[in-house]
Amino acid sequence: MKKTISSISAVATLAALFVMPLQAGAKEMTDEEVTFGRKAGNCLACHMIPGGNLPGNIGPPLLAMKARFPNKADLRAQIWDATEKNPNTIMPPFGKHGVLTEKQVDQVTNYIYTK
Amino acid sequence: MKKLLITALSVFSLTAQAGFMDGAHNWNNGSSDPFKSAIKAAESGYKANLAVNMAWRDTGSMIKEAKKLNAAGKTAAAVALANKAHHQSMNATAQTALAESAGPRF
Amino acid sequence: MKKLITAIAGISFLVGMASADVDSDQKAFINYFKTAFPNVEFADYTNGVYSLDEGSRSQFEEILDGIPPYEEAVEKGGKEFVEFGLNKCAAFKDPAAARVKHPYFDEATQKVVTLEAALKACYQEQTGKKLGSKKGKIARISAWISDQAAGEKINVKVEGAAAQAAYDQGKAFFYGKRGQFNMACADCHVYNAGKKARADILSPALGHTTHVPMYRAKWAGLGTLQRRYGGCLKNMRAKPISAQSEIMNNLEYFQQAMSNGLEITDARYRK
Repeated sequence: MKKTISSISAVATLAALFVMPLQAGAKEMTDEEVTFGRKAGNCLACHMIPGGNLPGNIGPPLLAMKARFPNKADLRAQIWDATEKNPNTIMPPFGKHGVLTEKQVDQVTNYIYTK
Repeated sequence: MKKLLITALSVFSLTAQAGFMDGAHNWNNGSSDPFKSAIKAAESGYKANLAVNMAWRDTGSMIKEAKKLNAAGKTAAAVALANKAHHQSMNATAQTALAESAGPRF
Repeated sequence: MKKLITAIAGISFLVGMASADVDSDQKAFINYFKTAFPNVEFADYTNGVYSLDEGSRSQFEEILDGIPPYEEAVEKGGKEFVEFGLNKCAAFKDPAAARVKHPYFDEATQKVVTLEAALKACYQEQTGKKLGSKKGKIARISAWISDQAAGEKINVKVEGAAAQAAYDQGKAFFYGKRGQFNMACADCHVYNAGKKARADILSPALGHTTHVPMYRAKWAGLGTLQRRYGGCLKNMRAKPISAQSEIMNNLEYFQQAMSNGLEITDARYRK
């Protein structure tokens, strides 16, 4: 009996392990959550962004992005791999190094582009 | 009919791959066991990174996790994760060449 | 023939480039900070990040005015130094001199010997047991030894080709980008020193070694310089490298040399 219970609980634990990542993936993060989240874009670590608390000042404030990047694809490319334009930059290549998924890079681009 | 079947099958497999790869390149070099070749590539890349002190934080645990997934029969997920680990090691290898000659910019 | 000469000249030029001597390296290093922070005196870099930020400096001074949270631990380190017979090792007959002497390049082993490496060897010799590398006992004892040298100046020597090679390896590590975040030590602690990552002010690399082992509020305890290296690497999403490994010792060798001429201090508090 005891054995049955423990094997059932083992199966349940295993099942939970495999299901959990799926559920986590299923819960969509908003564009803002991806941009601000410390375990996602964490853009505030270095950039002032209107609406974000406790920003760093390592990079420039993210303002007037439409004026600075008339072509939105250029902004996306900068987030995806900033070393392309400046090999010395401290900015992590978020897309190239897989810090964010392609979709998350899109989300950050969309969010920042409204600023 | 045969042709149609092949097309349908290859479309299916491509879609499946694209889904699992998460946009990453498919590093499988055509061996009969896709996991074996994927994990081998990841492991040898990671080992080379370790030897020159350039390994990334998560590559080792990704390799471990990929092996667990494979053992649990989740081959597709295991291959995808092994490919991700390999991708990390390739990026670390690219960094190594630059880091070797790094110096002050002043 | 002409080609050969050009090739040899080219190679020797490259070698010469790679191993600029420590003095000229440090001169350029200091000059960089002088340009970035014209109002900060060289000697003040011994206070690390507090030399750059007025606001956090007053907090720092308040903590030092009271009983610093590490005082008891350092005292305990002094007792342990005697208790484990570390004063019997030749390297630690004079603790203050030991702090100033380390790290140095040992021609016999062809390796850099850090203060902690010497402590570990001595501890093993005296007790037959192993000492850790990052926190606890080794950090307490090392802090007490360093306290004895407070007010003296860091004076790391890099002499001879092998020592130079170790220094150069540490230097390349410091400036090389690594990890998933693709960052070099220098990216934060040289090029962006004084700037803020969220609310944290990035400390200047000049003076990084004057107050080690340090007490960090985040750790709620003491830790060695190389404990911090491990944490920094992890933050860059690089795999941390073992404390007291050859490459970490070479990095420390380079970093200590860049702080040559700065006073060793017993003000160990950091955020």
